[in-house]
Amino acid sequence: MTGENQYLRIDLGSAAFLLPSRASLAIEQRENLSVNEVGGSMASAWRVAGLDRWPAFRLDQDLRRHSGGDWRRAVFLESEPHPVGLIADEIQLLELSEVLVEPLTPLGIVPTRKGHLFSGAWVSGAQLLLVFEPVALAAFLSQMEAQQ
Amino acid sequence: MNSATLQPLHALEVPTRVLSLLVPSACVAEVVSHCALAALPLSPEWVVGVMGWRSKPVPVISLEKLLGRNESVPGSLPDARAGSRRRSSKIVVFYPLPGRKPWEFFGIVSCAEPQSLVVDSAVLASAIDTPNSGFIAMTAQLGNSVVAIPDLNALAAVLYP
Repeated sequence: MTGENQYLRIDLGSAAFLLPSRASLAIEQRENLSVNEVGGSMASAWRVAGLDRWPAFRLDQDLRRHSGGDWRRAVFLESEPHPVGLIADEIQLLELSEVLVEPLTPLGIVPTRKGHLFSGAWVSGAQLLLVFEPVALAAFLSQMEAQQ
Repeated sequence: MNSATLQPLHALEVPTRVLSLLVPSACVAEVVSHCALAALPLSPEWVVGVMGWRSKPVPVISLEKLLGRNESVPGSLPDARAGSRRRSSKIVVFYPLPGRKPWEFFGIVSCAEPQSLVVDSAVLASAIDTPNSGFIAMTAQLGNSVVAIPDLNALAAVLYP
């Protein structure tokens, strides 16, 4: 369970991103997910939830679909008709007191129907971590499911 | 032209690999050395990354790529020339464009140190060409060089469609 005042650091390939922890519906370890072993779907794994199953997508540092690799966890976000998941190499909780997020408006055409994927960033010395806009990220993942 | 309209303008000439921009100095917050940029996924090609500036994230653009010229951009060169080019290149940090939010600074990669100039507005009346670009208002002869003067409202429409 994550608190209100935290961010999740999400490692995707060679990059890391932040997600407000309040956006996380669930974080599941790989062993608790049904992994897609046969292909044929954009989803890399599913979380079984009753009669439904929530797809989870594995992305690289450029947010392009990626397969394989030694991933550890997936974070699920609220979406319709069901939650969607982002698979990460690793997910780590950061306290808000550690993180100072400044607003950011990405340039160019909005990539999802819910807006830009990033709404801020944390600049810490030479490191800059982009902060996902949860609603747009969920829309982006749902778009992947729709492409199946 | 009425002499009352001929006001000196403090400007900055920002050289890029395809043209030099002439912008009012008041538009520029700071000129900084080229630094490491974080990638901004799913951005247009002309967004070369995001820099940390005064603890703020500032997206940085390549004017060459925005104009559709596929020139090399400092910081993205794969070969040995990258180091020397990167050392000489700068990032010009602009204040937010008209009508934009107060945190929306942005940077443009400059291939060399921008030059401060005081320009007589008569120069700006001597347009020599209007290029085929949505955000270049006009070009003008400035000494031996030709400079492009951006239409900042049009540039805002390109950056924030």
